[in-house]
Amino acid sequence: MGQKISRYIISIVLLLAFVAPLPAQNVGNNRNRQSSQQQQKKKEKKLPEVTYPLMNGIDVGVDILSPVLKVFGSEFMSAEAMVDVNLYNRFFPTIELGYGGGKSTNDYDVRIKASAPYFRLGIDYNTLWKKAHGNLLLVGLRYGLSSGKYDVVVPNLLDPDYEGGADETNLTDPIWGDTSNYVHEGMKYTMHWVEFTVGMRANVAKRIKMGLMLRVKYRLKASVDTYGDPYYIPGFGRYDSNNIGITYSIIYQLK
Amino acid sequence: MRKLVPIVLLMGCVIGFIVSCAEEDDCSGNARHMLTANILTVFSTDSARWETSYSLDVLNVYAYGTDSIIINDDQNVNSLSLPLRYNVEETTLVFSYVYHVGDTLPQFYDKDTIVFHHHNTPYFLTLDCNFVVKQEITDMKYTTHVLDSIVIVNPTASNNGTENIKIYY
Repeated sequence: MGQKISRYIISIVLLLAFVAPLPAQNVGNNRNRQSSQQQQKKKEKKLPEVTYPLMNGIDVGVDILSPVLKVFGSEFMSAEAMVDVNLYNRFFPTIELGYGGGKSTNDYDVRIKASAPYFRLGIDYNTLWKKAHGNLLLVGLRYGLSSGKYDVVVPNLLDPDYEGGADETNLTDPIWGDTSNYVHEGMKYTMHWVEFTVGMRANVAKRIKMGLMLRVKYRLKASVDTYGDPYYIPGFGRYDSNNIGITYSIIYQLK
Repeated sequence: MRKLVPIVLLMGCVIGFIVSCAEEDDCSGNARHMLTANILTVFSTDSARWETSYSLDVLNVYAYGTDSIIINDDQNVNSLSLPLRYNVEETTLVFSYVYHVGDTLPQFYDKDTIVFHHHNTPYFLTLDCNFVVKQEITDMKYTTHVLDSIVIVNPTASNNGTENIKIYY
C-alpha cells in the first residue's frame, strides 16, 4: 500500500514538474510562433526527402527512470543499458542488458527478495525515417529473458508469541489450528517474454538524445519453483501474464 | 525538435501515472483447497450396472481430534467439500449419520471414519494474496459401517469444485 501511494506521489510530482512550465512558454512565444510556424511549414514542404546510407551510427543509452523511482521509494530497481544500430534511419536492431532486484515485505511479515540479470533483443522501426530532423518515433518488438533466484520467508511463523498477522497468511490452519513453516530461499525461475514497444527519441544536445519507451509485455513461458511464484521478474516487472513498463533513457550517439 | 522534447516528457509522466493506477491483485486463487466428494449409490442387475446420485438424510462431519464441526446437520446431502490439514499430511474425518424413518424422530445413528494421507505444498502467490496450500491425496483408509467404498477420481484438491472422490453408499 505504501509503495502504491509513493508511486502516485512520484507520478503527480513529475507530472506537475514537467507540465507546469509549458503554458508559460507558450504565452511568451505565442505571437512569434504563429508567424514563424507558417514560414516553417512552407520550408518543411520544400525540404526534399533525405536518403540515408546503411549505417547511420550506433547509440548507447542507460535507463534513468528506475533509479529515480528507487530514490522516491520504489522497492525494486534495475540498472539497464541499451545499444542499437541505425540502419537506413529506419531499422534499429537493439540489445538491452540489465540487472534488477530488490526486497519487499507485507503487513504479515512475508519477506521476499529477488535479484537477477536480464536481456532483451529486438528491433525498432522509425516511422519518421524520411524526416531530416533526426528525431525518431519508434515501434518495435523485443524478446526478453531473465533467469535467477528469489527468496520467500515468513520468519514470524516460527515465533509462538507473535501476535497477529500469521493467521492471515493462509498458512495457519483455521480448523486444526496448526501452522505451516515457510522458509524457501534460493528458489529458481526462468522466464521468457515478448514486448511490443512504442517510443520516441529526441535530440537534446550534440550527440545526446533522450528516449521514452512504453512497453507492453506478455509472458511467453515461465518455469518457477515448486513452493511459490516469483513476485518480481527483473526486466519484466511484477510476475503476471502481462505487464506494462516504461524506460526513460539518456542516449549518446557514438558516431 | 523542440516540440518533441516536452511531448516526450509529458507522455512519460502521463504513462507513469496510468501505470501507477494498476489494479490490486485478484486473490480469488488463495481460497482454501478442498476435496470435492460426490455421494453415489450403485444399482445392478444381471446384465447391467449403473450408479446414481444418493442423498444422506442428515450428515455431520467432524475433524478428528478437534472441536471443529465441518458439516453440521446438513440434510439431503449428495455432495461435500472436505478440508485437509495444512501442517500434517494425514487427515481424519468422522462421518456421523442420522437416518429418519418417517418425518420426525431420528431412528438410526452410525459413524464412519475416513483417513486421508496427502502431500502438502504451501505455495506463495503474491504479497497481497499470500499463500495457498496445495494438497494431493496419496492414500486413504476408511471404515465401512455405512458407506460402501470410496474411489479417487482426481487426487489434487482445488478451490474450483472439481470432483476428487466418489463415496458410494
